[in-house]
Amino acid sequence: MMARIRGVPAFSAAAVFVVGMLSQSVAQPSSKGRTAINDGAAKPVEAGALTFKSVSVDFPDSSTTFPSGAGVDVVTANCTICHSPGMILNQPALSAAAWQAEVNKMRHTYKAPIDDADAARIVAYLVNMRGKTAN
Amino acid sequence: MSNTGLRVTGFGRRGMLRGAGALGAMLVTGTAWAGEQVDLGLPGGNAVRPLTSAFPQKGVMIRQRTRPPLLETPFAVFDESVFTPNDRFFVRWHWAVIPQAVDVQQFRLAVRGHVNRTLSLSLADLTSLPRVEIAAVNQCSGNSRGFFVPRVPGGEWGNGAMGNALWTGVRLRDVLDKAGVKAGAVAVRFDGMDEPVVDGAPDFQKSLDIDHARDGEVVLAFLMNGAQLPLLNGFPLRLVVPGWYSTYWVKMLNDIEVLAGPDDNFWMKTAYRIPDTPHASVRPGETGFATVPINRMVPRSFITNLRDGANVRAGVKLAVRGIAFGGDCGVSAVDLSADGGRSWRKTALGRDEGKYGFRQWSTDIPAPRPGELALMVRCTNTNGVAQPASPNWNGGGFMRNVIETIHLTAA
Repeated sequence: MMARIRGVPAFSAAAVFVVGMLSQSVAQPSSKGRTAINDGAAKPVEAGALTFKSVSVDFPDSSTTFPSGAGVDVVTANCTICHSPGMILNQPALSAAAWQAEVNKMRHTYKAPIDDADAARIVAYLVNMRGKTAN
Repeated sequence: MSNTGLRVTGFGRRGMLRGAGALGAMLVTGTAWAGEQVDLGLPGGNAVRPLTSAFPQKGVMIRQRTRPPLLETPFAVFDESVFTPNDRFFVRWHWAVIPQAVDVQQFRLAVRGHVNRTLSLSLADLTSLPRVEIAAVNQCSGNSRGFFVPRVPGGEWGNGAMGNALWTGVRLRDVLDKAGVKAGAVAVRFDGMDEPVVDGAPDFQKSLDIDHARDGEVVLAFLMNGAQLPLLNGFPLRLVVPGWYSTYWVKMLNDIEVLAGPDDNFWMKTAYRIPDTPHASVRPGETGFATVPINRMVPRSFITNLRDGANVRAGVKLAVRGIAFGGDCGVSAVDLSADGGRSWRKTALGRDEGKYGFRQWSTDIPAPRPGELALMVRCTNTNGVAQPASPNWNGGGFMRNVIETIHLTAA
């Protein structure tokens, strides 16, 4: 399968800087009182000037790994394309049919590029993993 | 990190988080928090989760998943204030491609589709529109999913995939009017800056009916509790849909499309559907029922100052307090039972910060005798809807709102 995998946008090195006044204070009709309700529950407030600050952050990487077992390499290589192992490891005990449905959803709905043979190995691993780790 | 620093001027008209030292909490820097865990008490086990302070602009959170981030609010936070601090507010993303930097000068919101004028609005454009604020609960559709029996797959949340904030921004209606909605518009679709990892997977988009979008309550928020939003909560702009589940509160909102026909995208047509039954409830294994997109929230209430399994003193009156919310309307009453639901006592409600927000409540119960004690709490909303005595069940793990019970030992 030739699915294109997107990387994380390379914004993280962008400089953090503070912009000046983005907008001038805009006079609003009397809106001091909290009782000034018009339609709905959203209440008018004074539209004074706001200054927003650009943000650049780093997300942490997951250091969690899957328990060893037959198929663990296939699971790691495929499942972690989209999500860290915690998503799987935090699931309750699920039946083989339920794991099969999850893998099907990942492939057919969320377009995980997993072929039939690997999908079967992944399901077998997940069923076995839960059997060993539940409770 | 210094990027939680706020540069907000001309706001400050009211305190944001009474009793919680909000700004102080936001200035706490991330420190090592290794090894601490929390047991969410989910039925069937596998309920232990690590606490983490490794995420940017967030304090100590329960780590449900690192990538894309799923972070739950530790429940003790809800005892501290009626508004949930930004750095403790829960986090939920569908796709792992999330911009890690946002330049506030470059940001633009597109308004397009079935409109007279396509718009590209800067933050300055948005902040020059009439400004509104609203207190509102933001709750994941699957909050408390981990308590479903039988268990269902998904984000295995405890009760902390919710929070209450004072949101400040502009009315969606005003923005739509600026673009000029054409006759025949039926829905408005919202898209944020996050993207699927794999090409061809469904981009996360949600939509509201045109009348809902124009009702004057739906807000494009650029402030959360008086501060710019944490990036993980949707900086720089987030849709706020008071009374509706968080799936509609699109984060990093940068695209609004007015539609001339119904929205058939995956996240409306297939995902986030609930059984069209009372309490969205069906029997496990049941099939053949009609479904609808999840929509309005239902009432909930929680005890926040006592944990399930706690020991309390016998022979002295017991102070009990917590939070409640009405769902799609205000809180009418919060009642407490100490006898398994046979009798209920009214509690005192705290200040009303707005019908869509949390409402604090408190009461004292007579001195418990030594032994086991169960406390139940029930919210009735201003539409007369009360929490049910039995839990609902559906395969998505959505809309749990059963009366909560905690078990105590008095000694």
